[in-house]
Formats: sequence, C-alpha cells, structure tokens
Amino acid sequence: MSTPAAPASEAQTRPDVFAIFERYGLILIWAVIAVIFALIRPDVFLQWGTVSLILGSQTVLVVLALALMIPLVAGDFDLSVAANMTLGSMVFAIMMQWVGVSMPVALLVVLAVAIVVGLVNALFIIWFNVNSLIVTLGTGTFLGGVILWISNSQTISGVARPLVNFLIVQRLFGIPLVFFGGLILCLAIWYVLNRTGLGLRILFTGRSREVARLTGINVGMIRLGCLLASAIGSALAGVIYVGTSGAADPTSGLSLLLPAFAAVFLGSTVFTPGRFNALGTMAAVYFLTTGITGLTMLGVQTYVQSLFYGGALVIAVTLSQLAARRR
Amino acid sequence: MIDTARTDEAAAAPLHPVLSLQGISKTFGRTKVLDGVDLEVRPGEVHCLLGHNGSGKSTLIKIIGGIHSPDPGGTMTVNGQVCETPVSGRQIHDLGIRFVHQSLGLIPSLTVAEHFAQDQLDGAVGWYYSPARAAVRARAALAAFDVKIDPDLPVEKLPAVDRAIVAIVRAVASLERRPEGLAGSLLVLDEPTSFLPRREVERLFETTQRIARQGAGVILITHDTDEVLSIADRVTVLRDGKVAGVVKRDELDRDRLVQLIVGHQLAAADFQTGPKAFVPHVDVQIENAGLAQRMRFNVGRGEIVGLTGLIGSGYADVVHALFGSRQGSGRLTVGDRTAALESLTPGRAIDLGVAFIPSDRAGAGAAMELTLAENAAVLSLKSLVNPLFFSAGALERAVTPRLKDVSVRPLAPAFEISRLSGGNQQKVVLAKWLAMKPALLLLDEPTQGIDIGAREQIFALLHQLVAGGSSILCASTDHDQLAKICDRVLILNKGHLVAELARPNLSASTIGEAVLSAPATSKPEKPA
Repeated sequence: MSTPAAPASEAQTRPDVFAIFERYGLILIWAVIAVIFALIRPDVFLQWGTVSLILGSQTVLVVLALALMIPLVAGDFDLSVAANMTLGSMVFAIMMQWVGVSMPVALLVVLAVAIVVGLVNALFIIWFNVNSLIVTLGTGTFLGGVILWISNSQTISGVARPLVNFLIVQRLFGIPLVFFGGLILCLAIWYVLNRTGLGLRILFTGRSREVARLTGINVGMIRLGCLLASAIGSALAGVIYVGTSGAADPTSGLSLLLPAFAAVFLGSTVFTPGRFNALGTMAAVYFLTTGITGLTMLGVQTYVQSLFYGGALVIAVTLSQLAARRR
Repeated sequence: MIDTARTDEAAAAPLHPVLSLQGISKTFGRTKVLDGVDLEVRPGEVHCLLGHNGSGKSTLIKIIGGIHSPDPGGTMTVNGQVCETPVSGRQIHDLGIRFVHQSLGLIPSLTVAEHFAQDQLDGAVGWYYSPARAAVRARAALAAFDVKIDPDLPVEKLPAVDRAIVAIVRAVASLERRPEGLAGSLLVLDEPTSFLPRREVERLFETTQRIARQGAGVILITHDTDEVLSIADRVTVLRDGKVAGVVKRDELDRDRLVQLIVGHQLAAADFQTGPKAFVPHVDVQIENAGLAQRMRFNVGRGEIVGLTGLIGSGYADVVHALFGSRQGSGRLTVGDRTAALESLTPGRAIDLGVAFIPSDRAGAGAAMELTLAENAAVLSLKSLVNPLFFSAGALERAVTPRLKDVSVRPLAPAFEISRLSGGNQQKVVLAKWLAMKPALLLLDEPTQGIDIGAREQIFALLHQLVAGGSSILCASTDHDQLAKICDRVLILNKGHLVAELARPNLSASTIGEAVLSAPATSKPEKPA
C-alpha cells in the first residue's frame, strides 16, 4: 500500500481491462441480449415500433427509480415512493375529473400533497431519528390506505387527454415525447449529483454522516432536501402515469417498487461502479425492459417479469458487493 | 497429527518453535508487499512485530490467519508440522492459534459471561444455557489471571482495558481446553493497545506475560516502541516487506528500534525555537462541556497548547465543545470574533476559522469509501473548481498539489482513501483542513495508530501551520507527543483544569507525573 514512491501517473492510468468491463458491463450485456433477440425474432424485435415501445413505455419507472435513488445517495431509504406515486396519480385524476379544476391547479395540488408527504417522512426520519426503512414502510402502507379511501377503490379513466396526446401521441424520431422528458430529468439529476458541490455534499452525507457533520455540512437539511425531492419526484411519476395511460389506478404503484429498486441497484454497477448514479439507473431500466419485452415476444408468460426483476435486484446487489471487495 | 509432533518435540532437546515462517512472500498486483520474510516464535516468548504502516505487518498476520495465500515458495510450520497455505479457519483453530484484533470482536450489548459461553460451545449445539453457570465459569477463567471483572456486565459497560482483557482471556480459555493446554499454542495480539491509556497497558501486559509463561507463544503487533521495550522477549522489525532485523531482549534499545523501523537515523527534531512572545489570539471560557467543568484558558498566536488528563477527565470534551460537535456552554473567542458555545455548530465554527480533526479517523475524520480527492476537497471546493460544474477528473487534478504539499503516498487522488495507511489517511484529512487556513486547529489524538515516520511529517505540518500565525489546541493522552509539539500543556482532572506545564519543564515524564499526581478532588482553578 505505501509503495515508497509510486508515481501518480502509474497509479491513475493503469490499463485495467476488468475495471473497464466493470464500468460498461451492463451496456455490453444489454447489447448482447438485444442482438440475441434480434437474431431469434428479427421480424418483430428489429422493428422501429418495438424500439419505440420499449423506450416510450418506461418513463414512469425511470422517474420513480430516480426518485428512489436520490435519498439513497444521502443514505436514506424511501419505500413510500410507490404509494406516493399512486397518490400523485390519484390526486391528479380526482382534481381533474371529479373536482374539475384546470391542469395547472391540479398539478399544484399534487405538488402540495407530495411536499406534505415528504415533510412527514422527514419529520420522523430526521427529527425523531427513526430508521428510514421502518418509517417509509409505514407511511407507504398508510398512503396505500388513503388512496383506496379517496378513490373508493376505483380506477379513474379518461383523464387529461391533452396531456396524453402531448406525451404519447406526439413523437420525435418516432419516439413518444415522454421518453425525452425522462431523459432530461435523468441528465439534470446526474448533473446535480455528479458535477456540483451540492452533489458532493449529498454523497458525503450518505457515506458518512459524522464526517459530513464535522465538515460543516448541514446533514439534516441535505437529508430533508433529498426526501422532499424523492416525494416530489414520485408524485411526478404519478402524473406521468396518468399522462401516459389516461387513467389513475389505485394499485398501480405496488408492482413498480421492486423494479425501481432493481434498476437503482443495477444502475449502481455501471458508469461509476459502487455509486448510485442517474445515468446508470436509467440504463438499467431499459436493460430490464429490453429483457422482458424480448422474452414476452418469444412467447414467455408474464411471470417472467417477476423472475427478471427479482433476480436482477439480487444479482445487482451481489455484483456491487463483489466490486467493492475487489477494490 | 499434533500428537506425533508433540512426541518429536519431547525427543528433540530444543523445543520446536510454535510458529516458524520461512521465505514468505506476497504479491498484490504488481507490488511485492512481503519479500522473503522469516519469523520464528518460540514457546513462552512474547514476540513483538514492529514496523511502519505499510511495512507488511498486517499482510503477514493475514497469511498466518489464512486470509491471504502467500506466493509459492515459502513454508509455514506450526509446532514442527508443515502447513499447507492458505490455512483454513478450522485448521488454525485446531492448531491452537488464536487472534485478538484491535477491534476485539466483542458484541457491546452482550455480557462477559455470554461471550465466554459462546466460545466454550466450540460448535456444539448447547441444549441448555444456564446464565448462572456461565457466569461462574467466566469468573473462574478471569480469576486464573487475577482479573476481577463482573461477568454479568455487558461488555459496553466495561472500561476499554477490561474489554481487551476479556477478549484475550477468552481466547486463552479456548486454548486451555485443548488436550495440550496452553503449551505450544500461539496467541496473536494485533494492536490491542492502540486505544488504551498508557497506565492501563501495563495491566494488559501483565496478563499477556502470564500467558507466555505457561508455554504459549505470543505475537504482539504494535506501533509503540516503549511498549516493546517493556514487554518483548524478542522483536522482529519489518520494513518495506522485508525483515529489517531481529533483536533479543538484552540488545533492545529505543534508538536501535527506531532506526530499524524507519531505515535511517531520525534527526532528533525538536521544533521548538526558543521562547516565543505571547500574542493573544484564542480565548476559551467553558462553563460546562460533557465531563469538563468551568475553566478558562487562552492560546496565543503561533502557539500549540496541549490538553490532557486521564480518560474520563473531560479533556476531549473541550475540543468537541469548541467545534460545536458536542453540547457545551461558554464562549470561544478567535481573534476579534466571539461565539457562544450553546449555539455553536460545526458549520459556524468553520465560519469562525476553527478546524477540527477528530480521533476516530474511519468514523468521523474521512469518508472511507470516497476518494482522496473528494475527501481533501469537500470543504473548500470553491477554491479548486467551479462548484456548479466540475468532473471527477478535474477535481482530482485540482487537488493534487494540495495532496503533494502534505506528501501523501501514494499520490493517487482517485483511490479510495481506505486503501491508504493510517498515517496517509490522516495527511489527507489534514490537507482538507489546511486548505481553509484555520485560525484555530483543534486536534483529538491526531496520531493515534500512526507510524513514526508519518507522525514526524504530521508534526512538521502542524509547525508550519503555527508558523503562519495559527493556533493549535491538541487533546491527547500521548505524553511523548505533547512534550514534543506543545508550548504549554494543560492538565485536567475530573473535569477541572488543575495544572499547567510550560517549556522548559515539558517532558513526557513531567506530564505523566502531573496527570497522575493531580489532586483527585480539586477546586476549579484559574490559571494565570
């Protein structure tokens, strides 16, 4: 370790094939499975329609996974993102459909509700210092009850047609606009977390609270900010859900929590291995979707989704452990 | 297998060494960490293993423990029996080798008796656990070494030295249950004394020597040459992965050891340059801070003031309160600015020009999973890069001169800081704080667990800082270190400031005497 005079250049620029593979391994595997599907079913898989389906259908999951990732970087779990997303979609639909307000007003109400949820989470996690996993498991379940209550357990459909028209029907390069929205959000979060001083402070908060505190970082404010961003982000995912499906379904969020976790952890194995990162998270969502879409086209039953997401989560976490041990 | 080895041993007049390593090498990637190391530990001896961080000590211990596999070519012999490497955990257990690491491997919330009972199971099911019987057994095991510790206390309630003794006696108790008993077994103590006050170390050493007298071989790994002088029967010094020398007890002397460790004669560096004129700079008024009670003292511009006492005297609480990292009441004045300690937070302290290096490097000093660059830059990002847009590479380039200034080795800003030795980690932490040009630097045990060479470098950096007009307040129980770097030393006893020593009456022994002879119940005293 203390090689007496290791020159900096040698230490920094060692041509480590393994490290490069580690950094882009997921992308490579993604390419490999895409090629395999294309070879087996060139008739369906190689169609632009399929590509645009894969890209255009997953923005809800991308935004939800990003919302989950932000507090994870700061060291807090937020299991309430899925319920919060459903709540966002339901409040949005109720405001527009049953109350009959305009879309900007409905969006403001959704934002206000999300902020309240984020503050409640933060109150217990930061102020009362309760484990974030427990708090958000509780608030998430609680919100699940609230959703069924306010919606009378009904699906509200036919909501916000102009929004659906804008997000899904409008296309750029044949891809629904909603995809680009997700991409822009992902780049913005990547920029803040990976390229700014604020991002570095969030990283320190997540990796060692005590070090961060003794470096003068306001750890409480950082965590509060991240929990709020998570709540607002997941409510945004809810709005996008309504905007892509035209409906709000009181049970829609539940099935997305595990895929979001799988994407976040799988994403932490690429680009900057060992660190949660927005680009990796987005790549992981599309990697998982490609696999599932391909298998579905080959005629595999829908249970493959559970196999794929569950397996990916465990394998992703294992891979990042192995990477950490090697370092 | 062991039995035949034992009969051989009885036949041969000179006893087998408990452990004999021959020509052990280990290569990680391109670096050769160990290069043909020989080590022999005889029954009944306390064998100290000395060396810098990075000299290969820990790697050697990990090879003995079967965690690393050595390069082909070397042999490891235990009690005359050649072992295949890497040795498995089970085999190490059966061969009678036990390790007590710095972290001790105890669970804070469980009782002493539970720790002994768990170990005594030796993998058996244990259909019925009787707490009363476990306590009796634990008490007996401890009493065999004249140690009185209540076995029903949870480990977290014990003083640090008792925790270390529990860990050691537990390991020994498990060796004693072997058919051969303690004879021919090997106990490896990996820096068990790092976090102990000096006086307590003697108690630990008494226990250790008793163990050796019963026929076990003991390897003690330490940084502290004084400890070695007081306990070692023989010493092996490692430097840069090779054996720099093996010294017998009657040839031991401090200078020789230091020379073997660092590879050259240390210049007897005394940084003091005669008495300085006192220029008021920092004024501290404490009403209450943890264990520390009402006191008032000052630190001059360019002055290094030490703060010491027995564990529990509150000397460390003072520096924490002055940084706002623990509750306290009183006032801190730095230059012409004053802050109330009640409302002080680390952020405000930093605004005041106060920096703080805590004793717990891994938990509070540096974020171990982050890179050198990130750790060194987080506090003063603006002076290095545009905080609204920078890449990891840009940060690493910008921070390199700063790391070079404190001579971090290896100078690899992209490395995770956990890959560096303790001394180099501390240099990175120092670089982080030096960047803000602190008016007052607070230190809490700044060189704990750091080798001699890096210590000297850190001291030089501290003197460079005060030469620029800053002040330093250093809390420590390392009297050598205080005598070496401080202009004055304040001594606390039960929370009260009871004495002050200044040059030229400053030496490890005068400080030690003052700490121990401080009146046990003294009135708060106003120093001059």
